[in-house]
Amino acid sequence: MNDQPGGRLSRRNFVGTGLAAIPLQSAPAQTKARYTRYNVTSAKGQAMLKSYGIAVAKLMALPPTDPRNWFRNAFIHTMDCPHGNWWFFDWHRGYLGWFEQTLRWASGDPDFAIPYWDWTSLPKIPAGMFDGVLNPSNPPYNPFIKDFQTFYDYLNPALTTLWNGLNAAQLNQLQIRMMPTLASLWSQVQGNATDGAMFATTPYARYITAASPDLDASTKKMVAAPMVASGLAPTAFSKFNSSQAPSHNTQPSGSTVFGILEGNPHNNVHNNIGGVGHISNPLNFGYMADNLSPVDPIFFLHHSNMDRLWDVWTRKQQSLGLPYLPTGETLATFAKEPFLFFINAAGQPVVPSVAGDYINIGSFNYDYEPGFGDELIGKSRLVASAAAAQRFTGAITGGVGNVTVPAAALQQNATDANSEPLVVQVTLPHPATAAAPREFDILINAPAGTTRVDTDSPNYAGTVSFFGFMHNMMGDATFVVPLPRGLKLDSSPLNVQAIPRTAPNALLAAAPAAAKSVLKAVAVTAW
Amino acid sequence: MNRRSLAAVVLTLSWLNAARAADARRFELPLPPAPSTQEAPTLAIEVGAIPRGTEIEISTPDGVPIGTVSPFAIRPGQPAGTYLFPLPAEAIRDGRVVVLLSMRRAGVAARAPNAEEVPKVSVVFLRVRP
Repeated sequence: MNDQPGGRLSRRNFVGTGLAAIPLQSAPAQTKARYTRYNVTSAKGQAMLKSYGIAVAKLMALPPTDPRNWFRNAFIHTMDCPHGNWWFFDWHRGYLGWFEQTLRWASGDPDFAIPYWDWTSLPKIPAGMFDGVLNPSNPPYNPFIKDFQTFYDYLNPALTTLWNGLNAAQLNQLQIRMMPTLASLWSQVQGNATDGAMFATTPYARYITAASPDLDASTKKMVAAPMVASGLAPTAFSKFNSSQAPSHNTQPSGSTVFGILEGNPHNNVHNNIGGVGHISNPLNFGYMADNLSPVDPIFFLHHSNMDRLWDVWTRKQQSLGLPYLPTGETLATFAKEPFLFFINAAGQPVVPSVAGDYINIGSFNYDYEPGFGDELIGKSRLVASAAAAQRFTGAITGGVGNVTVPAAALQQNATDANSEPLVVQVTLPHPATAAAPREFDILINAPAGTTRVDTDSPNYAGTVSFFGFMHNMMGDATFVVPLPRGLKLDSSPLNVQAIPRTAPNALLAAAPAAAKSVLKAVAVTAW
Repeated sequence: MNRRSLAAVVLTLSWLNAARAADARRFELPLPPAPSTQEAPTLAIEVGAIPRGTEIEISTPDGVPIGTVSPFAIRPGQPAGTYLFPLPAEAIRDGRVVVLLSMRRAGVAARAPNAEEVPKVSVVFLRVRP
């Protein structure tokens, strides 16, 4: 392993000689690492992509008897990766960390580190990832994956040798994984028309193309900032991660609860690139749709970003003084889990190797160029949901709402500009006729009898509008306006009015006598 | 963004509450009280065994997308687990959570999930603040 000076704790030092040495919950101060994983869109990230291409080509050319061979490495994932349990992030850090060293060797670039694909900022496959060996649908892959028999004939002798050399612990883990024999592994790789396959022929190796590089609409929703921020929001390791399980090889089941980041952006990106939702025959799903996904080089950029988000979450926890590891006795349970299939840059098994080795980046000695999520670190609150942690519903009397909100929440809203804003949800009747008012001023705690305030008044929350008049529209509409930060806190409950405007661009100073609040429902919530 | 602009942008089209076609199943459940202000309400979708390549789209009654369950690397015939989504305000009506779930698969008409495919939809609370 390439331990480097630089002040970071090595994983061995971190773990020490026994699990009792683990419970460091405040990480060492961040120092500059030897290597940096760059955003693939940056100039340095693009340079790394060139080195990556060189490395992939070299590893594809290695004989399959060499464990560093590109396809052999993918089988480590097939045979050992955890999904739907609390070792997901940890195992993949180890997998990428060790393979990054192999890629560094193969690239000939002494500074190489796997770039990351920040799909929140760039919801499409990055430029360069369709070139040459970086796209498994390109001709260089034909000698290996043009059909299943070619793939099998190429790899089976080496995998047979590997399998015959497995020790009892490895075989036990494969048993848990429901891969008790090499034949059962191959059966899952080859698949069938109902369940699909891990293997894909060259034309189907990747669904997303250079001509249409975008993720689809539903996947974009899953990688967008609100979803990723929600994934970073939990304050407990157990909620940030997926469920605790007996073994990292335990397959997901009905009791599995996926963490938001694994279950949503991670899964959806995998499946979208693999063609799920777009290809009707599951035998033709691409590599990214299943556990042979590291055949597609985009896998490592995707998981570099997942690892980055774990690092962001860890640093967020540290900034808040919160634990970033399992607490109590569960830490030892988590840390002692053996990972038995990793290979180092020399092509040798990494032994011993346990989950505790990877809970910090440690002597992999890399850091990340900042990406989405870094800006959330240090904030006292993360937006975790568009809905409120609490929602205070008011009562309506004569079109006027009164809603009681705890004084502390109002005080924070008024004085802490960095806190999640409180908003007022107002429900109004749809205009009954085309001539009826369509704009309504929302007034908060306005003095009794007031139907007009200036827009810079702390009692003015905003104006909501119906877009035109649509004859077929019926029922009520709910709008959201922020609770003014400068609102005076001399009244509880909050008094909320929705005053119709009768003239364009004029508040209701000279409003007709009929101008009165028409509110039908009101609530206050964090946003 | 000024307040007027924000108010316009966040317009919630709740009057478009027409019944959806039969390709979706409606779930309506009470919004439980939050244990504390540190807990965020989160939609939990429990998914049973569903055919490979099938995804479940979740939306509000007005058609606003909430998310997509896209099971990855699930063994054939096995339940796909529970997936969490931040709960948008648009899914809350009069203290109740209302969402629509629809099964989508390429080449097959969208349809409503049955009770085995989605045994449970619930609201759970995740601690998100110190």
